[in-house]
Amino acid sequence: MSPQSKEQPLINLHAVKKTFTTSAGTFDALKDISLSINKNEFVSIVGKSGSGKSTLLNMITGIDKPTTGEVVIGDKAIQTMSENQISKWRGTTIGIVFQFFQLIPTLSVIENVMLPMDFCNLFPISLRRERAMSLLEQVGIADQRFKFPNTLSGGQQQRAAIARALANDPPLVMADEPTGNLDSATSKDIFNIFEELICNGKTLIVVTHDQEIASRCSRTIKLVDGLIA
Amino acid sequence: MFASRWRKLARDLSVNKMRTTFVVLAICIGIFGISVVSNSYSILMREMDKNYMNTNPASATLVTNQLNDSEVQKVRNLPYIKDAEQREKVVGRVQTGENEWKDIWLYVIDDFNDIRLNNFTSESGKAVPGKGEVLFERKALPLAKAVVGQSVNIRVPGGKPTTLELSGSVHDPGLAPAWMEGYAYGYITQDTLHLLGETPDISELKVLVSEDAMNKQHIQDVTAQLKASLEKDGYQVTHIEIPRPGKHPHFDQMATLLFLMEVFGLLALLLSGVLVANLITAIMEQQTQQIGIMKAVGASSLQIAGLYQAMVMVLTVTAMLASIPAGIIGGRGYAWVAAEILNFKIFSYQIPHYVLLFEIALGLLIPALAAIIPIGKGSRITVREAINDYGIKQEKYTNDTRDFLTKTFKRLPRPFILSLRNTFRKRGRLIFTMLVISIGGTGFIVAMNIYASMYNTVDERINAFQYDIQVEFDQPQRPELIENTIGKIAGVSGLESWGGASISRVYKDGTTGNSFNIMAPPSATKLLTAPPMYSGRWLRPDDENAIVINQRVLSSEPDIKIGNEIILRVNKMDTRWTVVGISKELMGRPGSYANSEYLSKVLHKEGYARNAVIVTDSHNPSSQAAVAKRIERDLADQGIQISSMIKIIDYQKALEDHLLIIATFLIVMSVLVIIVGGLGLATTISINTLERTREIGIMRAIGASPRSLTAIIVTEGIIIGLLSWMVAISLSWPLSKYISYKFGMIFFEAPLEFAASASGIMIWFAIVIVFAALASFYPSWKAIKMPVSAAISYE
Repeated sequence: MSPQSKEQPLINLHAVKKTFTTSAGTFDALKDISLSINKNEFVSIVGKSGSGKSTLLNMITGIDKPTTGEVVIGDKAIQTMSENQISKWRGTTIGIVFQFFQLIPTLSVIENVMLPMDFCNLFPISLRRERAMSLLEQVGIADQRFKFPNTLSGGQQQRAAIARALANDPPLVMADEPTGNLDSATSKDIFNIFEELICNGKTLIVVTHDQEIASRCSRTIKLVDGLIA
Repeated sequence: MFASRWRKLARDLSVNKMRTTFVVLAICIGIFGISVVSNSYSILMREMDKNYMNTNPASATLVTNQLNDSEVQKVRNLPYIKDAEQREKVVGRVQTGENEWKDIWLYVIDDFNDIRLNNFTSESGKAVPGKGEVLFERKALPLAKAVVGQSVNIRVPGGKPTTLELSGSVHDPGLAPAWMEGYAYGYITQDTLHLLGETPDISELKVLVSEDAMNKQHIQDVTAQLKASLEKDGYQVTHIEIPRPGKHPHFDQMATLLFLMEVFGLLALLLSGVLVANLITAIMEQQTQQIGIMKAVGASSLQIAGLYQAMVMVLTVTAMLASIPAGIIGGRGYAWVAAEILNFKIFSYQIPHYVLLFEIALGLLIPALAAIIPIGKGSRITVREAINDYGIKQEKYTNDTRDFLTKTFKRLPRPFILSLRNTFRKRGRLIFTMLVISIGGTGFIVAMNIYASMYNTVDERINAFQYDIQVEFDQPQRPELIENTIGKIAGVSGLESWGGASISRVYKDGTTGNSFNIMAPPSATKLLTAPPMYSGRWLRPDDENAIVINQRVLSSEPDIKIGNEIILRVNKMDTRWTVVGISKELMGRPGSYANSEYLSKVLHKEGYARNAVIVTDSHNPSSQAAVAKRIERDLADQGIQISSMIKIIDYQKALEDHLLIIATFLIVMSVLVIIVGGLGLATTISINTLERTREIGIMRAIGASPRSLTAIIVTEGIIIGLLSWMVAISLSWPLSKYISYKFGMIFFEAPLEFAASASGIMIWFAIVIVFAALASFYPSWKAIKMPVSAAISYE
């Protein structure tokens, strides 16, 4: 943990509440959550199914907005931003790794990695392919770059998804059950990649129900029925 | 190098070939429809004007007594007259077979080498007929069963049948086609007219004004001055005719056609737009998760919308590559057909650049506009909504809806109830799908209704005639002589003698309007019932000076109102009549009806008949033709000359021939709509079913048999088809009424007698059921054939 990170947390949640309304009635997924996460921290969010883990991740990534409370990432109060502003901000600030990889099936691996660069225009067009190659090398699937997602194994797809999450060099990477669909050996490889990211100065938040993974993180936030335990 | 999102776009299009083809076809149809309409419109209007203006049409025709050459030259020298020409027109008869005659309009021209106005061009044979020779208008040759180089027998009123040599044919685009009017056109010299025995004292002076030739008011002012000048010189002007400046005589028919074409072109465009919107909605729904991912990695809603609008643009341009050239070919083809039928030449098939630019602009705009809502909605989806899309939507399906369906259809099998619920599950999509199919159905039923209304209008008119043959005599005849001659002919089962005369309206300034006939059946006639009325009422037995005019009279005398008293010149006597009704006449000549008792009294011709109407035993055309020949022969034997003979069956055929071009167009449009509507139906139902591949997989995984699944999905398709069929019937009713009204007013100057086409409704029903069943069966069969694991992971 760097000295600066102690001075200014990267993520600040204050009294965040999220209520969903369904035909069955209202349901509080998050109840008064307040927390801070510093730069370069490796945090796991754990809890049982329905405890509010994914909802909390959605709050931090701006995928969803709180019913009440504040979510501040860096100097941005997410709840005040429009959907379009959030998309642009997220593309450059947060890399997301999904449980089901969520690669675009009609794009090759390298094209999937280049896609966020195309949308956010942080890197010149001429450098994008080179950068995508370097990220694929970093996650160890450069030789698979021209293949389409449906021809890759689960582990390879998740590596590609991680490379895509790093495309715009975001300071924060969020992973939702990143090893949920992988065998234990592959899960271990993925976790090694995450640790490398921490070494490279990234902040990493992993949502998981795997206690072993959680134990390898520098900090664990446990959710029970929408509250931090 | 293309950015990866454009690569995605290209691959999405190539991966879903069937869907891509459907969208391209949908756009193609819309652009093709509007392209054919605008291309043929631009060619026909330009070429029709060109044909007409090439004839150097007269601004006005003044009916006068014969002018001498110096007077004609004097008229030419008037400062407000650019040119003038004197010409006579004689209505005679041409023999088309043994005892078979048709009417012929003979134009008598002093000098064929110096035709100044209303020109025509030589087509074959001689350009200038000699004495004893006649030229025919090219479309009159088949009507008169005549061949250039052979001889024809022609008879004019007061003359004897004379054999003339048909020495050539001409193209006269300023006249309505002979086949349409039912009479021939011939061109002769003064010498030949003398041979025929006619010495007319009435002449037509055609004039072209010097300035402002397209301004009717100016032409009226100029002809009034000319009339005064001629009268000062001792000539009598009995009638002035001013055609619509610069308007071809076929203009109304062409306007009707173009009106119908516009309606169907717009319908095709609308159908295409809705189809595109529907297909794009399907694409956006199918790609929901991908949109979510793209937004999660930084794409804005605008970028997503741009991506899918670019997809629409690619599809549009692809569609245009096929539809614009096809539209050019179609437009040129249609223009050729219309020109052939309406007897004018197409000098150039060139389509103006602005027309092509308009088509391209419209082609690009319509799909883009149609896609705006589905793309806007799809691209605005939040990442959370998109990522949580599992392919089986949790629609807002309320307990109320479920309870209603369950209670209403509780005795029905459960799979059928499931089909019903599924049909109403995605209401937005259901509305879109139904809109596509309903527009197709509406187009088809409207076309069939117009077709039925056209022929219903003809039937209603024809049914008023309770006789089969109408004979008009040169001179009034004693009814006893007519009855003794015609009544004895085998095959004649009924006969009435009617009065009649040629009349014209007398205006306040003493001039007269166009002449028209008055038919005067006895007040107790059994052979004429009230024809369809435009306004007012039909004649009553106790009517005296009551007259019913047809709407063709009204179009040249638009100030006449029901109840007006008008002065009519009959046999050089001015008489007062009250207009009690306006009847619908379908393309016939201007005419009127009055009771014979009163007309005879006015004419001092009591006990004389001008017409005979005859009922034949058989309604077979050949038997009627045989009776008609006998009538011609027996009357001739009695020295009675006929000025015209009309077989009602021929009149009906002439009416139907007039409608042929419209009917052909409607049939072609109906077939096209079947193809387009069927394609739309198949497309939307197929896509609806394809989208549910994953759901089908899940149902199979929980034990649904392929048979029951197919039954559920096909039933859904049929329910959608049935609903759209009902919507199409409801939509087509007011639309058909409006179009039949507009159509009738342009074509017949009177609304059509509306008739709903039961066969159109039933044919569309059959099409909808068959297409809906097939369109839903094929993709459901494919999904059922797919392994359950593949179906569940289908995207």
